[in-house]
Amino acid sequence: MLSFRNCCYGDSKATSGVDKDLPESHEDALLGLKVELIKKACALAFKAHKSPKKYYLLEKKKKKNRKWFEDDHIIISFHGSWASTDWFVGKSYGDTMINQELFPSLKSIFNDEVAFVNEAFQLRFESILSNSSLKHEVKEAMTKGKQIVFTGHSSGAAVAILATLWVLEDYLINNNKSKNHKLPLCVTFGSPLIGNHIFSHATSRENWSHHFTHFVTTLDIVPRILFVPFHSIQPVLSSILQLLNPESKTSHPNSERDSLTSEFYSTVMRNTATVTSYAVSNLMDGANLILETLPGLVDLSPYKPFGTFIFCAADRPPVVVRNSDAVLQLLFYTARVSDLSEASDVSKKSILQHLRYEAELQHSFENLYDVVYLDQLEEIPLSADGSNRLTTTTALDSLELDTRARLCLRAAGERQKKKKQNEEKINKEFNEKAAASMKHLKDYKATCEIGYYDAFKVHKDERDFKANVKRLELAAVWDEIMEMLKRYELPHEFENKEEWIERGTMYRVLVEPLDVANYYRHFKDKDGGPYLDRGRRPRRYRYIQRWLEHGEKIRSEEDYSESCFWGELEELRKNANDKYGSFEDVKERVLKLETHIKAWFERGNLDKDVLLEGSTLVNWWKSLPSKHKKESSIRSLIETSQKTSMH
Amino acid sequence: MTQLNEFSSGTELASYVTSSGVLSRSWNTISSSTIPSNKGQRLSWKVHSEEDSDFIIIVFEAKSSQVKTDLVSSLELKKQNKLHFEFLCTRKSPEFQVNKDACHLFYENLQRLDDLKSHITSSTRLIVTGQGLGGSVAILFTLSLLDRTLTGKNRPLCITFGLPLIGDTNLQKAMSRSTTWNSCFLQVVSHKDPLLRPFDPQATHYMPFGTFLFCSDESSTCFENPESILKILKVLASIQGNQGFQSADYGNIVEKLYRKSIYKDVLPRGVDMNGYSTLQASISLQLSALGLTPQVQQQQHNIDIDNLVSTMETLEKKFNYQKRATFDPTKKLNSEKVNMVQLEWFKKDSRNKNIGYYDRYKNMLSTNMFSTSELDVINYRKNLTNYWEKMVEAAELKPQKEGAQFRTRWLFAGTNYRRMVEPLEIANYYYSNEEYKKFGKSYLENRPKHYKQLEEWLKEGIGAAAAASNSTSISTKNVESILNFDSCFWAHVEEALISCKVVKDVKANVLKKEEEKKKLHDFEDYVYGLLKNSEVSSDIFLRDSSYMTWWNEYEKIDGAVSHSKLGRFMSNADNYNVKYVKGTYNFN
Repeated sequence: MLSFRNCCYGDSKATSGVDKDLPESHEDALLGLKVELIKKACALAFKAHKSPKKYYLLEKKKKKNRKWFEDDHIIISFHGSWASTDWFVGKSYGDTMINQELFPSLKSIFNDEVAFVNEAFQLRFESILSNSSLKHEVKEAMTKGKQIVFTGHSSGAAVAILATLWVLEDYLINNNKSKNHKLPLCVTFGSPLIGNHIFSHATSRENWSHHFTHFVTTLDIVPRILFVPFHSIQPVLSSILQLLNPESKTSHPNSERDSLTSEFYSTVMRNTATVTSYAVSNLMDGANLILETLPGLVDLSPYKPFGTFIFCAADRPPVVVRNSDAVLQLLFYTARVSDLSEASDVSKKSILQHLRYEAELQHSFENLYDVVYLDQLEEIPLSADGSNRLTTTTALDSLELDTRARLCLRAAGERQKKKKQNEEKINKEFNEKAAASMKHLKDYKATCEIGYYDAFKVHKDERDFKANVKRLELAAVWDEIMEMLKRYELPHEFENKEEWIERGTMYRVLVEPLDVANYYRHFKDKDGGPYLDRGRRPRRYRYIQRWLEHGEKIRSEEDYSESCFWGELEELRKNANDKYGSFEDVKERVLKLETHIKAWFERGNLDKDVLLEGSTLVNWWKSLPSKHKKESSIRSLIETSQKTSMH
Repeated sequence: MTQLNEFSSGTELASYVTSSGVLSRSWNTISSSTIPSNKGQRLSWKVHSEEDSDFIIIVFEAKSSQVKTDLVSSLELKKQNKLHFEFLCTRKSPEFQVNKDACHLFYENLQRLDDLKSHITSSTRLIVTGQGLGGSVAILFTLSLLDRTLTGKNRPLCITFGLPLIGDTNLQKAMSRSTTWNSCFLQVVSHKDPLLRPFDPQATHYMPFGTFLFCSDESSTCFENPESILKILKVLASIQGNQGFQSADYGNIVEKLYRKSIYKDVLPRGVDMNGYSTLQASISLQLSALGLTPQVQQQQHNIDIDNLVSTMETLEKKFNYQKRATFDPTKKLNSEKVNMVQLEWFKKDSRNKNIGYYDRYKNMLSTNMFSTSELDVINYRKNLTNYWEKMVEAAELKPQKEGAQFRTRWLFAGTNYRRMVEPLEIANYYYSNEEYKKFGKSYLENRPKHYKQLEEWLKEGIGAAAAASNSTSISTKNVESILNFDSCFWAHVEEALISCKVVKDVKANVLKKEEEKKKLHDFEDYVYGLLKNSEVSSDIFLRDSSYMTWWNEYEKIDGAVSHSKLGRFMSNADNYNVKYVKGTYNFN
């Protein structure tokens, strides 16, 4: 019987992050995936190639002797395609903006940048989605509470990945959060890379990485192909892709073919070297001079790995790597050669290994007993010395990783560790400083006699100054978080933590009015224009608002929110006080603001203190033309509040 | 929190450079038979644009293969009105030296080079290259391109082959002030290059800048710390056999490195790095790429590899530390603001107590009695002064254009700081400074430099816009809450008080008295001018303020004040307590 043993040293978190939707860990399983399931998926991925006319193959029949079907899975596999237009569209690296309709989460929240994905793969997926019965099939399976496993080999894998993401987006986010659906899994074999760093970041952030398991044989050329700019391989790409097609009936190897593959292999690897050495230099310290100029002259491939990678080969135990930075490095370091003669040998293998996943996995699973999880990368030994008997060492040795490679893996581990430390640091800072400052401001707000915003704007008493100090202390904490997010120095999952979204929103709602008040208190609008103008509203508030909107999957509020409508109010007030200002000019804006204010009150987003007699809001409203006031949507709000305060 | 491991990324940077193909592209253009687009007597160059791209490679070629090490000073160039490199100087460091031959070649061809420059736009992707003396000219040409505002993305990259060090320590320092500039230079140097010796920085005044890619036949590695580069240069020069290396050999090296970028490292087996830190291991790899291994040590007795590793480690650590420690004003900005808010409160609180914040602080110092909250004020002042001293120093060290932009960005905050904090500095000077007690010199003679510089920033052209908008808003601003425009106002008051003392002193010399009287008149005019422009806070009229003390003294001395403009203004408390505040007093 196969059994699973976790061999990484230190405290392994082999099953951490695996949520209830994934199968439970069994003895005969790898990463919670039963070996039988993996084998079946692999067989189906290759079987799909035999029916290139079908969009996908679906396996759902229950067979008695198949134990894993008790879990009620269905497997959907996509065939590959070896036309060069199904790999590269357009220029250079063939990447394009991801379809935001289908994949709304695949973007960076902080920078508001959309992920990039290989255009050819996306086109194929879009076409399958609109032309086939995939939607229907998926819906039915989900409704029945079945778990879908998407799979594919080669470019079929790319489609499987997009299909999985589409289901995750569609069913997790749009409407079916509450229902008891099982989330899909994706198992790929020899998959090319398909997305850029934002793609990788966003899937990690959404906690989807563990839904994707990529099996890769160490020399397989395909996961590395997209590191090459299209133009430099265009003439040979079609021939190479034919060699990579398991169904193609090509002639026996000959010398012409050998030199073609050898040349192709060198080109791919050299580009891989450029991508990986650039990436790791940035991990190591990132402030090198040449990193500032060379990227302007050498266009680098944007593609980055994501999800879990399992490097396997027939003769050694599988190595599981979850750190995407480390995966990237391994794509280079596991396929280097010693000299020219080895290069020709390895280049042949780099094609053959792509075709033989079934056989390679079969052997690899015999070694499942020794699976190695490369997790604590920052602690791996720097030299192969044999003195260390741990399996990690054996794995590193068997992958033939020299000191240089190990330094790169360490750098990847170090970066991950640093991100965790940063998170601990800001947690600590939040608990030690920010929480108390927030409490202080809450108390301040509760005891302001003329309304929170107005009290701060008048700034008469010591308590107002103290509040200002607290405002600035909080700004320091949040600005630091912003800097870290901008530079991706926090764990990817950070932005998906409800605790932090909540902290952020509480901060924004409580403190931003003070920032607006401070802005107008110092007449900064005279030189700088309205607070709500581009570039005036501090980044921390803009970002935190976007963060919440992403978390709750709501559309962004047009111009302002309940925390910064004061900016609009101040501008409208200036208009009202200006002898040349006319109500008609701003009528639309007034109506809009009133509608918003009403809605915020109904939802409990605004407190009554803004309606106190003499507050900026009330004074402004009272100055509006009486004709307008009569029909104003917040008239009753204001009048009721006035009455209560009189009593 | 545990200390994170440091790395030296030179091996990986070298892999990035060599595998990317930029070296081959440059070298191929150097060795190509393209007809030079410009053929001069001693210098020619060719411009190669790559098909289907906006990529341009400019190659400089010097006729003479001899490279001399004489230097010429930038002051000398300035005298001859050759100002192309003047922008590299800063207020603090007005001079540097460059290679004389290269400079001559550059200026000999100036006109045509200017012409060449005019074809280069900011969207051009540009490599400037050359070997030997040609490389030196390539560096100068690229330097001269840096005098424009470079947009972040497309900077030129100057790639040179052979070892043309170009300038002295001052030039290196100037370059290191701007990573933008420094990042534009990549120098490829073989461990066998015959130029290693004559340019030995030990014997000359040369100092490297930019990135150095050192290479052997097998491998290569990068360094960018000038001290480390210097060390490597020295070691290589000391072991070099100079086995008939020719500059054309760079072609082979470049080709090999390109091909070998996918090969495993050829490392001596059996070196156990498990006891090494990541930094030590990185450095050992870098050295072995240049053939500096324990095996070599056995043949070359003058080298101690272990020693070299630890020397390099120290240098790299120091360099990394300096990189991290670079003063970043934005980082501490929020705490700077907190200190300002605290002082803002101190000012307002003092006013509520019917005393100006200057006088309150002054009384604290002269009586040596502080409440705890008042003690804090001293710290706020110190924190702010620390911050702004560093800030001004950083700005003064910046290259001129960057510096100007920087000063504009921080002008508002800097002015606000100066007006808020300098009065406290003045109080400190007159009431607790030992030096003043001893020598009695005016504050204005000993004014800290950074205040002067901050005031200069405001006066400079860049301040014009800000000053204009400031003056328009005065009328609407409340003189009760403003800060005195002249941050030295209180120093003038203190000096006036001293003058009063002298005038009243029966023992004082008559001439001296006349001199002080004259000063007092000037001061009177000065104050009146400030009042007229509403540039001074109404705080100064609070009872018992230093200003009012002065006025009371002054009034007694000079009977004529009742006829002076200020005398008329001061004669009625209503003028300064009400009309000045409301802006209704007629100063004309």
